[in-house]
Amino acid sequence: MVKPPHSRTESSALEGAAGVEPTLGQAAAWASRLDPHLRVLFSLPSLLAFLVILGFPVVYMAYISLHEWPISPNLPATFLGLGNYQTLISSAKFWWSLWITLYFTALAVGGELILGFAIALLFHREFPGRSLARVILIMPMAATPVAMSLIWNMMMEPSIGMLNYLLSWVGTPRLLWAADPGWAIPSLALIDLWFWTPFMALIISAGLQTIPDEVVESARLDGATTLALFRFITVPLVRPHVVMAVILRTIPALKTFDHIFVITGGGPLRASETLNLYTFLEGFEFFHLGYSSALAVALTLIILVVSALLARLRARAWSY
Amino acid sequence: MRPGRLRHRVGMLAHRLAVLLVTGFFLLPFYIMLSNSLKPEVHINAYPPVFVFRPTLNHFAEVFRRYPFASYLLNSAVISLSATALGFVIGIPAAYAIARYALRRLITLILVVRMIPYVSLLIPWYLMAQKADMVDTYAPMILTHLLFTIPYAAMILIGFFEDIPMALEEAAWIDGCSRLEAFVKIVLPLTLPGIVAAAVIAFTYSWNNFLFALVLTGAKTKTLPVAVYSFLTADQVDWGGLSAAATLITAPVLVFVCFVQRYLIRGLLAGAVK
Repeated sequence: MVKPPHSRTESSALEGAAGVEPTLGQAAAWASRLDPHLRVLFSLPSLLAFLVILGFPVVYMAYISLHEWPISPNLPATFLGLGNYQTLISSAKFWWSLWITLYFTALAVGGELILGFAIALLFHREFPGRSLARVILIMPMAATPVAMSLIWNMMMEPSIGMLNYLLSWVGTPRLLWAADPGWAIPSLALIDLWFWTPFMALIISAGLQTIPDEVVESARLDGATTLALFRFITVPLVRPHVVMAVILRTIPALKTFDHIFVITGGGPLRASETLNLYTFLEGFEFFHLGYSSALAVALTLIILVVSALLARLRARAWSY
Repeated sequence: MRPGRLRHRVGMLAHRLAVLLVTGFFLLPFYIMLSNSLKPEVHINAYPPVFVFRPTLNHFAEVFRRYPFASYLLNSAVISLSATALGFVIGIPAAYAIARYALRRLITLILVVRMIPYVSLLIPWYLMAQKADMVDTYAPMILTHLLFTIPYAAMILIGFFEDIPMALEEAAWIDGCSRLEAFVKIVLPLTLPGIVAAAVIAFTYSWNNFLFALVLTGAKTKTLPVAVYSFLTADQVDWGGLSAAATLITAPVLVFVCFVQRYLIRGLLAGAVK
């Protein structure tokens, strides 16, 4: 580390502000002996922690996935080699759950992007109560997902729920919402929209603030219509933020568990059984620990590959 | 000029209306939760919904009377506070090391930790807890929650540490401080607001976490999210009680988060730093 020379006045001013006294006691001498190793000393605890809480379990998971694993710790496991993976590849349920995962993710992230962009534009304009409205937008992200999912479940109740009541105002027929196989994923995506659209809106909002006023003004003077302004100025300039927002939402969307589990539990008729749910149910409903671990390995690999692809996409979006 | 003014007025009105609609959508579940928790039993299943009623605290009293809600509260508090404290003792030095020594591989590792689907860790963690005879104890819960409290501490605080000018620390070295002393006496106090905000965010995540609690807790260590979920699986769904319980769980984190809302956005964006 380079030490630039300091003027005496500067350093003494800092000294006064921070209340530092040069101590040369035993402890200080001991502490300064640690200095050259600070880099290792400070990163080691986290490395060790990750090894125990993540590294070992991941290896253990891969090991279990090669076996038919008993629930009782007293019974022996049977080695299957790649047997569980063969079952997985040829299982229609696996491919179905993969499709459901992608369907849910596309619907949720797509909806959040469109609505989030719209909200960011709405909030870009000054209006009375804007800071309060912003706090309201943040609330869904912090509220306990299980609790709020139960409330959504109540709202989606077909006969007396609030959503069907609101629909009756506009005269649309009642829906079964998540209880209807065809509507299960759209209903769950709607709930996801409630939880995470604000996140998208806040990032895009940050992007809108980076657009210089002069650019917009000069385009207006040149006679650009609002639509042209949006198409040729706003969209290209916030593109990096949009890409980032989409990436930051896509990975968690692929892993969504709480509200799907609480509201449909993967049903009805597997209509909302995402890969996450399928893995969980195989493990903790049917106790196929080995097969569930193979699914877990597949899920982890899929997420890592998607993350790597998205990271590359982002690098391109931010490169100019 | 007149038609232009009219267009302006209409545009403004449409804008306000849209804002109202949007905030209404995000407030609706909170309104339903609060109003059902205060509604007398007779009105809860009414259709069309009753909007005007005399509020009652019966559901809240019931929740505490019928369930050991206080002990769930204690379990959640112990687990979340411990996971946050331990996560920060480990995560703060990691963030400082990353900020000052540009440890790219450590950042990447933390990003990978954030990406791993927790579902895939449930089986190994359950079997490990079983082997160690620690199912239904606090330890596995606290340890698994480190999976997000450490990354949150690290990702949010890297930025805060980077914002502290190197010159401040160098001045302290010149005055005879060791690096460790400079970190403890100068850098830490200056980043305290950031640390508090990050801790609130990490605590909220731990408080809200459902998946690990679903598998690793039992009768003795059940946390609030699992407890409120069991309202649904009970024979008859008690909507009033459920809403009251949901309100009790959500209220503390909502209050916290309103205080640190400025930093929350930064926290959520934390995964985004290069």
